[in-house]
Amino acid sequence: MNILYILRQKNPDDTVKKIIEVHKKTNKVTIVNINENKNYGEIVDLIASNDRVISW
Amino acid sequence: MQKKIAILVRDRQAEALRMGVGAMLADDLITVFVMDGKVEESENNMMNLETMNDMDIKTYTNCKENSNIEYLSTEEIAQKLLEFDNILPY
Amino acid sequence: MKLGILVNTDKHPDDVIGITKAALSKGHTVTLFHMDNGTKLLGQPAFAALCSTEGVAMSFCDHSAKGLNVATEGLPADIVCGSQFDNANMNHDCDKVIVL
Repeated sequence: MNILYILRQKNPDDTVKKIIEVHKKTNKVTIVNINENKNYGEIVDLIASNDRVISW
Repeated sequence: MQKKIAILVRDRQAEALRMGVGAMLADDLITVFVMDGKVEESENNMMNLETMNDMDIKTYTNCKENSNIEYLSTEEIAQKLLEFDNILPY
Repeated sequence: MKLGILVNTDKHPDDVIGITKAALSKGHTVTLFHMDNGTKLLGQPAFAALCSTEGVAMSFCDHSAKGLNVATEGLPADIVCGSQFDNANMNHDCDKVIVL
């Protein structure tokens, strides 16, 4: 499964890090930090193309 | 088609729990995960948790202090989240 | 794609607008539901302009707005004064839902 994480926090907390770590073991994970990446067209394409999107 | 929706209750518990109850209004399958802390025992929070129980909304927590909610480790919750169509951290 | 955006903070207005416009430009439709602190963005001109754009549906939780003393009188009629029912429908109907 392809999972997109949209990070709203500049520094994700330990729980978020742990969940990402678990998901990375069996899935293709892409991470976008919304505070740093303002390429909205690319973000929309990633939202559309990934199976799941999680906004932390 | 019924969707599976996960709501993760984090720092704004009251609004997240209220959303958890409201989310069932479209007849989807709602599961609520209380993350990283004990639910504040306010009247509204207790009422929303009771409503979830009455409506068969499953609740889990990675915080053992929530004695009335089924405990799962953070790793187990991470695995479980993969079952859902929408995953909404609040 | 039908994109849903749950706007529950007032921290990312530019990102909400930017993602919505980018999605529309690529032929997607966007449903926005504002609740909690997200209702504080409703009065911003950029959101008022967005609500009447083709392909956009916007609603807000009246309970949140009232609780936070957010003035909703005078908002464009295209912004639906709603409830968690609108949120539930967004989650049910949209292909993807993000939270900002």
